Amino acid sequence: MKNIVIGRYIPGDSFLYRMDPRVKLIALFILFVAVFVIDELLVMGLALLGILVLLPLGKISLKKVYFGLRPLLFLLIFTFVFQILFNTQGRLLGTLRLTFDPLNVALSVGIFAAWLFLKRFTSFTFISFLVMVAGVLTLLSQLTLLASFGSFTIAIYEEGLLFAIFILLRLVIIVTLSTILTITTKPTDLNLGLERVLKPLKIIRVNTEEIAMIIGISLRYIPTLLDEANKIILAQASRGVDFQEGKIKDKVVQIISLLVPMFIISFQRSDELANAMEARCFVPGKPRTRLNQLTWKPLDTAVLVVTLTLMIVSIGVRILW
Amino acid sequence: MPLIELQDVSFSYGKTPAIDQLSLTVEAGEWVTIVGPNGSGKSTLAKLLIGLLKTQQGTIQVAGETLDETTVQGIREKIGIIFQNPDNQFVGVTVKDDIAFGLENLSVPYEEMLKRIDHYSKAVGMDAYLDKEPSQLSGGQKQRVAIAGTLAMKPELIIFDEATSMLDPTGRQAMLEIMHALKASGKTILSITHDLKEALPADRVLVMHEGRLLKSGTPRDILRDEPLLKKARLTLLEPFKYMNQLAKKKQLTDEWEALLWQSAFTL
Amino acid sequence: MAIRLHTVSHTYTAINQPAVHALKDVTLTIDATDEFIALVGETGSGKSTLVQHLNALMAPTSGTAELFDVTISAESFKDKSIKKTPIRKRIGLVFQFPEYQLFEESVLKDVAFAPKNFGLSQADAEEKAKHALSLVGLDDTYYARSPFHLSGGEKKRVSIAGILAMEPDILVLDEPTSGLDPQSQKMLMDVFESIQRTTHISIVFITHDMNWVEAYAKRVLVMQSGELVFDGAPDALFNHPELSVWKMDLPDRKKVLNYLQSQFKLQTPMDDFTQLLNAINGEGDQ
Repeated sequence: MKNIVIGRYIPGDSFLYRMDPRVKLIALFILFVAVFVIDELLVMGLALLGILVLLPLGKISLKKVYFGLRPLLFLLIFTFVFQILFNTQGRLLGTLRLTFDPLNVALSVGIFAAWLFLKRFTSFTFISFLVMVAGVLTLLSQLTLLASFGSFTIAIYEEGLLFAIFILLRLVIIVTLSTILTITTKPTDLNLGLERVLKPLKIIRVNTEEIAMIIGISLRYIPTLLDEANKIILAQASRGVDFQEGKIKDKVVQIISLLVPMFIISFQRSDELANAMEARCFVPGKPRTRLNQLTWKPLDTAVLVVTLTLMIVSIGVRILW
Repeated sequence: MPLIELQDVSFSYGKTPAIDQLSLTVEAGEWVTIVGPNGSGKSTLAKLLIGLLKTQQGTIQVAGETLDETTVQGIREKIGIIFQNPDNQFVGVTVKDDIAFGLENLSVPYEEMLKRIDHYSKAVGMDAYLDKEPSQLSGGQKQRVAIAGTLAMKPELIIFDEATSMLDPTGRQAMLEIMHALKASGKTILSITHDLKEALPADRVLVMHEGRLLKSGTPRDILRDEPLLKKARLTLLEPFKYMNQLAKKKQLTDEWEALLWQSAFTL
Repeated sequence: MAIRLHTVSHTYTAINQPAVHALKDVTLTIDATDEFIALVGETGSGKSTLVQHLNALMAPTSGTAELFDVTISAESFKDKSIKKTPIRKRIGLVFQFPEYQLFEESVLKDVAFAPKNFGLSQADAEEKAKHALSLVGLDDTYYARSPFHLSGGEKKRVSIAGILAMEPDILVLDEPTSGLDPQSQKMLMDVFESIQRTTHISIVFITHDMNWVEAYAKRVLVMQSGELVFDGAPDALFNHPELSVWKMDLPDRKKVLNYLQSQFKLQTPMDDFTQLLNAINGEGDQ
């Protein structure tokens, strides 16, 4: 639980850290638009290259970004495979005919089981997963000694493969950019930046300060909640709940035994927290001064200019290409 | 004029009365400790004083002003409160933010805010932790931050509502030292506790039971009163046991009493 | 020996945070019967981490924990064929806050939860639950009540009954008296003492209050910065020269007697007030 990196600030110092959070949010938005405007794989590749240059400049290691990507790996792979398998446009690049016979199926299951067993002892889960998949595919396509009882053909088309890579790059870029934002921005600053950026919404009667306050308090209590969830799991485990095993029926009770205490503790907390806030003269909607001040620096203007240029270029490329 | 004056105040959750026709006064500069068992109405009283609960009967006056909807904000500026659970009153993402929270609410200007954060974080010995997050602090440190955040708002009265009950002895000791310093600086202290050691330094001890005031007196009188404390589910501190032991044998001289009283402060 | 920790270390690691050495080479044995052990130490000294090693909720980063017939180490902990729940049944751990475990709509159902998890029928589990509730002094008027509408002390007792209902050989309690008023604290400690006396199970409790250590514990363990620095009788601890180094308090009685003794310039330490009086009066008579 302690290794969740999504939305987590990691202290450091670089121009990315020194930027005004408002500018970071706006720049992120501009870059998102740019990434969605791009429709050429080559340009997308250039964009990824740009990010790979940005990371060392901003003193952010690939490892940190990987930790941000990791929870989404499954989604990325799924999208990628889905595109390859079901997009049948363009030239046929090649086919892989999988034939199933008792021996190779049994061996495949064996490889899968071995992977399941071994992955606990290796720190390269993802790589070992790829090796496992490659092994299974090789087996099923090459080794057919006994009478087969079925077959399946994977056909890969040029368009499908290129589009799959394109989509993958786009997702990786978006997630990486967001991860850079959260790694380099303190939650308080991010929140304050969000409040200021959303301020124009006040015209349509959205109370941006209250939203910011709610987000801020949520951010503050996420570690506490995780910690508590962990303790509740341990407390129930001490009463014989085995969260790793159990039938579906048991699972339901297990989850209830976790959720009920979480809810009750959270309700009590929100009650006490509201009291503490009111006692310290908090009145919703009343104007407040702020400890955290935002300062717009020349760096921020420069970043905005660069990102805007990138967006205009990507729009230009799309229209003119 | 007393700083706090309650007249015939009653409050009940549903049918069970939590506060039952309670009248009491607290003078400015006084250290008053309220003791009593869980459920005696101590914490309800604290919530009534800062207007988190509304009296159903009777009046509460703070510095001559009657507490009602129009005065509650002004009165909250005069009264600070530290609650029991260190985790559930830490509003800011960092120590600095948390101390600033009340100041932001009072619209204190930026420069002044910085000055007060600096001053009060030093006063509670948390100035080295300004950028730390609550998950990096112990319970006692979080409570000290809560005190700094309250003091920064410059209240006249500070209520400690079981504020030490979730702390270890070190955390508790640090809190007591801060309370002594506050008293010395002229603040009024209202401490609600079931730890009789926190009653020792008080000017006056109030014993509550079932929403009523059983007795008000000096710590010397109250802490020796075994039947009274028993009723309030409290146990005599060691030196007062000895006092009663001597008194029974009619051997309690003034010297002994003074000596045993002094020994209580080693606890 | 029921529990045998051998050079157990535990290190918490999180990305971008310095590693925390919560336990350092702790070696310790605990018997399955008739122990009454107090575990003391400052906040952050590793007490809570230690007790979570006692019922296989955590694995040592290095070293081994022999818990009855199962040996838990960093490697064996990951092995799913080694079941941890049977250990947790024999070594019951009660967490500090009852709020972490209470979830059923009635007290009886909540206390019956653990025995049911260990395969007992509803009726048998409720039998065990009723017995456990009687041990902590809650009668049948409590059975149907919601655990959420009880006082702090009652919740605590229900949560303890919830573990006792498993009939553990060893009962481990993380700060059982915190947040309660003095008489409820004493009542609870008396409950533990009577359970210990009647069932002869071993009890380990974490506390900050030296008065309870003095009054109830037969053995005391002192933790400091992840190390077990003392393992012995309470009296030996109170007379230990390094007591203040470990930031440990004396019980109230000792503090007061020591103060009086120094005031009267008496040489020998006094066990109680009467002895002190006799010593003073004896001197006066001569």
